[in-house]
Amino acid sequence: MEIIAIGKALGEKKIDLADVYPDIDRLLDKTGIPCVFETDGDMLDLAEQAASQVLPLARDVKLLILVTQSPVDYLPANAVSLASRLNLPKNLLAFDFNQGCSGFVQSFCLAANLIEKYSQILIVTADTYRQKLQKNDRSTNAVFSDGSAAVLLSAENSQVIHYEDHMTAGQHRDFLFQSATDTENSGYLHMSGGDVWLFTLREVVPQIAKAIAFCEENGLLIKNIYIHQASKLVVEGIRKKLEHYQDLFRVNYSENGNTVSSTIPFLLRDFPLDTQGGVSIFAGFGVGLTSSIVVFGAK
Amino acid sequence: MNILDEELCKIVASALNVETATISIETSSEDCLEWDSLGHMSILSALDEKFVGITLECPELGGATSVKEIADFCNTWKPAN
Repeated sequence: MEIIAIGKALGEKKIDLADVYPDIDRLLDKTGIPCVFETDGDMLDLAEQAASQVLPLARDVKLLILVTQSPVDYLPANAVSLASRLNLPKNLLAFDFNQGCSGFVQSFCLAANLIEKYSQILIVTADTYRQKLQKNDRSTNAVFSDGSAAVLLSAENSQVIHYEDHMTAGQHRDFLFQSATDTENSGYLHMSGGDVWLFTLREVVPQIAKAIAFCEENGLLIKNIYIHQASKLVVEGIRKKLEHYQDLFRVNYSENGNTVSSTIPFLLRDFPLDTQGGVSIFAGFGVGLTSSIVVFGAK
Repeated sequence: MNILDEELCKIVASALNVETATISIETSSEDCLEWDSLGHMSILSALDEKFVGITLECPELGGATSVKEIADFCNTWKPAN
């Protein structure tokens, strides 16, 4: 499987957090995010914008996976509406994939298993989390951005998934959720940062360490580690735990904010995959709580 | 393990980037603007650095809402070796 192109869209309103929070330096110590991006449009507007950038390179997309937790419609599937906006051919399979920060890695795994059959696959990650945030919740307002990425994949055989490891821990649902009704947290997104951070330390760090060990045991040279760009605290905390590999971590949280399932595609756009024989580790984790890790690279 | 209240207050204050004098054993998250969800992550990171292993063995720290509660968890925690 090959990544042919990656499109990117951010909310059109750039919010300088120094204008919102007078104690910006204290905040930056924790988040590392000086600006966030917000849209007045909807998830499909962002998805269309990102996907339009890669379509000129598409020959024969037969499967569209739309990773989102910001649906515009309950029905039809939002992927069906996106396909129409993009004028994709009718002989297309299109579905929504309801996952958050681990959504890109999970859909990438699905795509790798389906790519031989569908020839070209388009994964679009898109979320407008800022509409879900309570205005006085600084911890979320200072972190999340609206954004979308579109990743065009083809069945070229040069790179494969060598390893995958998934965790689904629904017992931690209450640590990060938005209820479908307004009975919990008035319908706004709730994030218990401490609990999510402990999950990251207890579960995600060992998962990444296991993937690194797999690479070392199998003679795979790790060139890049792309982890979900949640915030400075999370990214730098994980890097510190895996200090021997610190230099391999690619980082851009300060450029975009936390764009949920789009953070890893944005990293891949800024720091392209190595195509000279090495492998890369992708690690997505968050809402669920869930965590998914893959090792992807040359055969 | 016994952690002195004073030492813990210093850790919490430093993690929240506030004056040490503003944090006491009685301080709760409701008393301190900086002790929000991000602030709590920062406190846990600082504890993890100071007391290696504590965050792995005391998941309840994730929901602690006061310095006293954190002190209680720290004082019942027994580090391996």
